[in-house]
Amino acid sequence: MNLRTLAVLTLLASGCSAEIEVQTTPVDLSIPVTSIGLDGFAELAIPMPEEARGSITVISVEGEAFAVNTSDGTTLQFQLYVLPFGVRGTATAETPFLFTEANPPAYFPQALPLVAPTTFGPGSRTAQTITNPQLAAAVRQETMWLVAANTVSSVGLGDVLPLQLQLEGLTFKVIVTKSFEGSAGGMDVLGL
Amino acid sequence: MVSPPRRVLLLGLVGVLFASGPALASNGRLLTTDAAEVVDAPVLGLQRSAIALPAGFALDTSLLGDLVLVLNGGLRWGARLDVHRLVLGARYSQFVGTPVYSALLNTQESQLRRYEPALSGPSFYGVYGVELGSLLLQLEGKLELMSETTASLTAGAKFQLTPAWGLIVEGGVRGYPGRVETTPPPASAPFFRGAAGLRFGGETGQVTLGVAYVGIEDPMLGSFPFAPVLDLAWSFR
Repeated sequence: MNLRTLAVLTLLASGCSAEIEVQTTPVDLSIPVTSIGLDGFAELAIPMPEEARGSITVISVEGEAFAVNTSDGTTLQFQLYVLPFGVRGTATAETPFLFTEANPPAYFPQALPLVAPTTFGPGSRTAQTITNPQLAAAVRQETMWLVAANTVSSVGLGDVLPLQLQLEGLTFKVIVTKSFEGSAGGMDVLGL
Repeated sequence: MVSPPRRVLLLGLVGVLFASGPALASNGRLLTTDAAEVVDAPVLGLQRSAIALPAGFALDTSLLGDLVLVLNGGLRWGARLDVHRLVLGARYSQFVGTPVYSALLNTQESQLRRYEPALSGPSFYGVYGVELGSLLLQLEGKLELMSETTASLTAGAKFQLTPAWGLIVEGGVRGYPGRVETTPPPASAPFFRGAAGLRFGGETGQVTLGVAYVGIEDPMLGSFPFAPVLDLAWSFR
């Protein structure tokens, strides 16, 4: 009997709750801007780990990423949104969905701001922490959809469009308590 | 309408089945429910070990429960009247294995930060049964006041196929009164319960093997619709 089986059997044996910490797979994302004054958006689908599904209470959610501005002289303005629980995005885990403010999807007005507009200077690489109570509801589904926005107000010296803002190693740490209290059947098998 | 020759055959068959030897000694359990049987001799068993007291009372414990660090003790009273059997019992369980289990699980599930089994509390049960020759029919009602309240009503039947072999079938429903609705609801909280198995043995030693529907389905634990039921018991008469 391996340890996992033992662990499962002990959980089986009873009602119990467990506090579980899971981390989403790190992803990289580029948000391009193709013309001045026209915000570029990239929608990203983040599959939630199966351990954090089922009967759970979300204790905390925290996102981390590096925001990288590869331009030589342009300041990029970054903003991040999350689609609320129940609103399905277009992006898949494999393919981000890119759009501009000229052609946003119908559900975009429902997106909730996660990170207020933040500017990143040319050639910078900045650690960005993402915390927002809105995330607790959004992680309670199989996929969470984020929308990142990139705004360029003026192109700096030596830069040509399109300009990319890159999010590197975006990952979410989710802590949940999970209830296994329905497993009363295990008690009966033990004669309890 | 059953034709006369068939009726005779049916009656004969029922007669043969009911007359097929004495029932086995009681170890106090069917498969996953308490048996409508009086424990009138000391029993050393996995699911139930008991010391018989006068007037139908017995002090008991689930040895399997104790082994997985759910220390438990119960008081049981049983009575026979003609073919009727009545059993009433109460049990208190106290889980003492949190440090051991947490350590074990942490080596296995690195995402696990804290594990809090909630296995302590009282439970109460009552069983009424009718013994018709080799057939025991019974109904068990049970209330568990542990981390959450669980109530169940389970019908059971034990049929003595031969003097040594018995067939056991159980089926019932389980409810969770007072449960706060969660979204999504706990997957591993089935409404139905059931079990089937075989018992082999005699007046003293018995082996029971079966399968119980537990309906555990969880993205982390995996899917365990069924769990094995094992009981070894020895009666000291």
